[in-house]
Amino acid sequence: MTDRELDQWVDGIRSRSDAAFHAVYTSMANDLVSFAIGMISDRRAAEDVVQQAFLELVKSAPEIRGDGRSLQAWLYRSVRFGCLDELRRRKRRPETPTDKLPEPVSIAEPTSDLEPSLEAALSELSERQRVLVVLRHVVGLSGEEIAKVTKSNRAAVYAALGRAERRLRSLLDTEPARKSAMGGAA
Amino acid sequence: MRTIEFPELENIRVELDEEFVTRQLAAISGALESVGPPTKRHRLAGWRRWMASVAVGASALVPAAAAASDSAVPGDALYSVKRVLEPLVQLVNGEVVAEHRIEELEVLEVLELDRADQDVFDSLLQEATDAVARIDSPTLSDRLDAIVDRRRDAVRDTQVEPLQDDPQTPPEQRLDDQRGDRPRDAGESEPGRDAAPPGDDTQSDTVQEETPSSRSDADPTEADEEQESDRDQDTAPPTPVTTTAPNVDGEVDGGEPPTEDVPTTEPEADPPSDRP
Repeated sequence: MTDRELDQWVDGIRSRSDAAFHAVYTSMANDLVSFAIGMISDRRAAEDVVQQAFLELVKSAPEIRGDGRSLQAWLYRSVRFGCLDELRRRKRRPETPTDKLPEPVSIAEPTSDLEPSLEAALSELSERQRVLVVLRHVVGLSGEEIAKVTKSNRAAVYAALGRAERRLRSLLDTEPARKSAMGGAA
Repeated sequence: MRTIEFPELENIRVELDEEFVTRQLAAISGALESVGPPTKRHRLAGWRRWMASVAVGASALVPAAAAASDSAVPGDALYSVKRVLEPLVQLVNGEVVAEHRIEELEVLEVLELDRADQDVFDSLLQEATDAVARIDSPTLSDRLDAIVDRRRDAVRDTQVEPLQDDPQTPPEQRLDDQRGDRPRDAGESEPGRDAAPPGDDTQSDTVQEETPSSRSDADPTEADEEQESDRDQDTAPPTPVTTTAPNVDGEVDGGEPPTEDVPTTEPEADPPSDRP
C-alpha cells in the first residue's frame, strides 16, 4: 500500500471503520509479522504480537494523529514494544513444559524460526541495532520511514544503521568459522 | 543507502496465508463491534483531553471557591483565594474590588482591632480609596466616606482615652485635662480668699497682703477704701461668684496652698456660692 492509499484509510481508522481496518491489515500484516519475526525469531509469537497491535489500534484509533505514514509508524512502534515485552517475558520465564517436572538435562530452548547462525548474530546486536537492520533489510523501509518509526532524524538513522550493518556482517562472517572450530574441537 | 547486502535476512520475510488473515480480520471486526464507534470524548486525544479536563474542573471550582471566599476578611484562610480570584470576577463585575474592600473594612470596624489590625485596616482603606476612585459609584463612595469619618473619630478617641484611664495620672491632672486650659477671669477668686470665713480678720489681711494682684483690675483708691471698710465692719469682701469646683482637699487649681490659719474643711462647709 502506497502512502497515498494509506492516507485514504486514516480517517476510516479514526472512525473505526471495519473496511479501513481490513484494508490496512491486509496491506501491512506481512511486513509487520516479518518485522516481529526478525525481532523475536518466533513466527507464532510474532503473529500474536501483530494481532495484539491491531487490537490496540482498535482501542486507540480515535487518538491517531497525522497522515498514513504516521499510522504506519504507530503500528511498527506498537509491534516493536510488543516484541520487547515478549523478549522480557522469555527472560523471566523460559518456556518449559508444565505437566511434569523439567529434566535437569533437557531444558527446552525457545523456539526459533531463524537459522541458528542468523539468530545468534542478531542476538548479538543491541535492540536498537536489530530494529534498524530488520526494518531496513527485512521490511524494506526507507531511512525516512525508519526515522519516523524510531522517532529520530534521518542522519542519525543512517549513522546507526551503518554501524549495525557492519557489526552484523562481521558477526555473520565469523559465525561459520566459530561453528566449524567448535565442530572440529568436538 | 544499501551499502551492505544481507541475503540471509531475506529468509525472514513471510507471507501470511489467507486462512490466517481471515481469522485475524474476524477478530478485528469483533473487537470493533465490542468497542463501538468513537464518542466525542474519544475524539479529544492526548493533551487536548487533559486540557479539556482542566478547563472543566476550573470552570466548576472557580465559582465555588469565589462563593466560599466571598466573605473572607484579612486573617481568614480563604482570604488569599478571594484576592487571587478577584481579577477574574472583576471581568464580570467591575466594582467587585471596591465592594470587597469596603465590606472588609466594615467587618474590621466591628471587630476588636489590635495594633497589627490597625495597619491592615489602613492598608485596606487605601486600597478601597483607590478602587472607588477608579469607578463611578456614589453608593460605594458614601459608604467609604462613612468609614473614613468613623475611623477619624475612633483615632481621636484613642488619643484621649489613655489619659483618662491611666491610673498613674493624678486626679488633678485628669481634671485639668478634661476641663482644658480655660483662662481665669479677672474677678475670679483665689482659693485662699474664698476659703476665708466671714469675719476672720487675720485671714482676710493675710490674703490681702499675699495676693495684691488679685484685685489689680479694681481702682486702687476704691480698693483701699474697701479694705479699710472691710476691716472696720469685719465683714467679708464682696467676692465674685466663682465656678471653680474645689477638690477634695479644698484646693483649687492654680491657687495658693492654704495657710495654717485657714481650716481646710471650711470650703466644703461653706461653698462660695452659698455666701451671702
